[in-house]
Amino acid sequence: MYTATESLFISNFEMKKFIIKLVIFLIPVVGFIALWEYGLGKLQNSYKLKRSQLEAQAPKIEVLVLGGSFSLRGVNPEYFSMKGYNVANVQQSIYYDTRIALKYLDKMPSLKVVLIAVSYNSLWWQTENFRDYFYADYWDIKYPTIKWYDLTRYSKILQYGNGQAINFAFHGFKTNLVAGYSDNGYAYATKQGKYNLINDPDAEEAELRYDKYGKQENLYSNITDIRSLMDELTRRHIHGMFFVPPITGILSKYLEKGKVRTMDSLLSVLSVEYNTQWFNYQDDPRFSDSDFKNISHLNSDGATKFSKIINEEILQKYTALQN
Amino acid sequence: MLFNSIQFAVFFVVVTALYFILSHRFRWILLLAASCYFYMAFVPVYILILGFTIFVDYFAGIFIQNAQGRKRKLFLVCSIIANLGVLAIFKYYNFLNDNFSFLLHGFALKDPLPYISILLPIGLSFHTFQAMSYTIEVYRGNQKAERHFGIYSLYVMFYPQLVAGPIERPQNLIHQLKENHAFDYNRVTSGLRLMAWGFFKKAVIADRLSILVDNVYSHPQHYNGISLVIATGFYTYQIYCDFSGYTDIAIGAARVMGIALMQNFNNPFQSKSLSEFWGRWNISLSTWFRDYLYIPLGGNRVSVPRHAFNLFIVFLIGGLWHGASWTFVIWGALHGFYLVFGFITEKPRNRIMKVLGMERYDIIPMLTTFSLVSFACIFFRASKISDAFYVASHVFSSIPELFHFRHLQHMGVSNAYLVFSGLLVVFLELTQFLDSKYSLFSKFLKQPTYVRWAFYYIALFVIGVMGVYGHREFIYFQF
Repeated sequence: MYTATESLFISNFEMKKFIIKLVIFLIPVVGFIALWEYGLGKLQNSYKLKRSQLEAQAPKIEVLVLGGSFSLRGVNPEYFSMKGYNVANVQQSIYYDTRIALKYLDKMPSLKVVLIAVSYNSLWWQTENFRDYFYADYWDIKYPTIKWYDLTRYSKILQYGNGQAINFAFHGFKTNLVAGYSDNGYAYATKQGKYNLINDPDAEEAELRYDKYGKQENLYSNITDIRSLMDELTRRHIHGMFFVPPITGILSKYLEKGKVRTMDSLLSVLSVEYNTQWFNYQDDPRFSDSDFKNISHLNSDGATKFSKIINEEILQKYTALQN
Repeated sequence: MLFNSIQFAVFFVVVTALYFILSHRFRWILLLAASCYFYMAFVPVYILILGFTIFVDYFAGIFIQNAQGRKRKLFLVCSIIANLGVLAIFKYYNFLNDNFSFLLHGFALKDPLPYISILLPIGLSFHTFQAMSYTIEVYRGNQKAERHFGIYSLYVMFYPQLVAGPIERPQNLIHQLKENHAFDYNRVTSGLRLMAWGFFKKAVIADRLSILVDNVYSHPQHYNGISLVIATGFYTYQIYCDFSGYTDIAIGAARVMGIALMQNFNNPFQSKSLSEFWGRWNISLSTWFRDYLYIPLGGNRVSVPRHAFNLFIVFLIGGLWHGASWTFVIWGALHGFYLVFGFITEKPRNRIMKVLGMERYDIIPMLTTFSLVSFACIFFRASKISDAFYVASHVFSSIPELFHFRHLQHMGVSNAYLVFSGLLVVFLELTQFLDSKYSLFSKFLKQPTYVRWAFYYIALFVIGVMGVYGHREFIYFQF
């Protein structure tokens, strides 16, 4: 048996031995992680791209398009008669739409129109997933649930997830995450493919997904966010307008009618409140299945058609009214 | 706070470093504060419930020790009522209420008792049983009542095993919490290795298998035959890797600090009978039921029908312990039935095996045991009793289509995922088999440093890269 002093000495010796070995062991691990983080940091993604594009084009932008993937893949500002930029992104909620717009209003002195896409479920939806970290990291817009000590906010490996992060590393960090993205923010969508069918099961599944992620408690905060953006736009004499993007007839059939009516009436109320208009293209007969990539997203042909409609029915009328 | 989170990694490093920096006199304060923080990371207010049972049992222990005759029993009964009362309110009230309402529905009485909207405090069943084992052992004279309130609180709240066991006995844990544990290099690294193995089982195997299992069990009616068989088999391994992974992390974390927790799993799928399985699965719970319920009921030193009744009732209560739902009751009843049937038919079964010359082949009883456990798991996993019956009645329809792999396409995962998940299960069983047969782990420790370190780097890489992450709770946290 050792005396207390001998035990303490042995214990201290063993602790030092452990710490030294641990440090030596961890050096390559830390180095490896640092290299990995560096490689991922260099990857171009839609958040990084959109922010840099918006910042570069901000002084000239006259029309700003907000929204989620319906807008991203459905509205191409190339067909606008005014200089436009589409800042919409996949699953981008009203929470981020409004904050991005408010953040850059000062830098867009030419801005005249803000088109706010409100698709089915937008009013009940907030991102609340891995995308929140990308907004915190690339747009400096922090969702309230993300705490300062949440390491995912600072780590690209955690943001992309280990599966994606290793996949990017295996491809030498050369994966193109923004394939099809134009300078004006629009993202090109191909025509229907093997996994993008327009059929009843897909439509039913989409409706179930909307119901699963749509929450009643988000409705109030989304309306509040829209109001705060509209207040600021009104103050700056910028015209904010709402539009509901087109979807396939097959999806429309599955949507909850009560929710659609609520959305319509809320948009009507907001339009009256801010003396503006809202444009409903949800069941627009000018769009057929051949205009869609899948049950809810327009393909490139559909996007061209829709963008021209927006230009004729919203922007040109706006310009005419101003003149 | 989940073991498989970055927060826990930081928490563990800070608490362990402080533990070895602090003088022995203050370590219990550190561990108690850390355990409170750990528990409050889930639902802070529920610490009050834990505080209530700790307070009651601490004084009950002292009163039991000081009292004589019937008073001792009275204090024990009071303690048990307080503990079970908390369980009854928070875990079983709404379940009983639902069933009571259903029964009274025929008399036009609807909802005779109000529904309580409460969340089940995390790990309630675990720490309640651990607290009960203390007062029972004091009553039996096997444990002296603990006078130090902090140490007693730590016995109930020791963070590694607070929310999902192993359910410790006071004779094993309390004295260790008082001892001075010096830093021991071999012990610390051994604890860290065990934690890494636990993380591997949880993040790489259990959470990967859960992707398919969740897909199938969320809409079991969309599946048939082989899909249900694969999902159920995967779930059996998922729950094993999830729970034993948690246990390994708990035992490893405690071992780093010099505290030896009891073993909770011992290669359960190598069992050749259900009774052997229960000696290898959730050992701390099965021995709890053995010591505090089965033996007091008379155990096996009674008539055959009474023995069968004792076995059945213990497993029925065991099922209910897991969750306030009929699916868990049926799961417990199935295990009870297996054991009773196994014990009644043991002799004729052995004779048949001998006549057929099959007693040498361990694989047959092992596969039978695994199949029976998996079948019962259907009731453990299904979220509704109708789902469970659907799966149970359709798993057997798979036999004609066992090799029709086109059916696999419908489980929401790729073929590569299926093959990889299957290989993970084979790897797990092979590793455990080789370790139990040839002491694989001891041989590994004798390898030169560069070999061991190379292996550690590969293991870290595998856990980091192949693990499935994103707030995936441990299954047993809900109990």
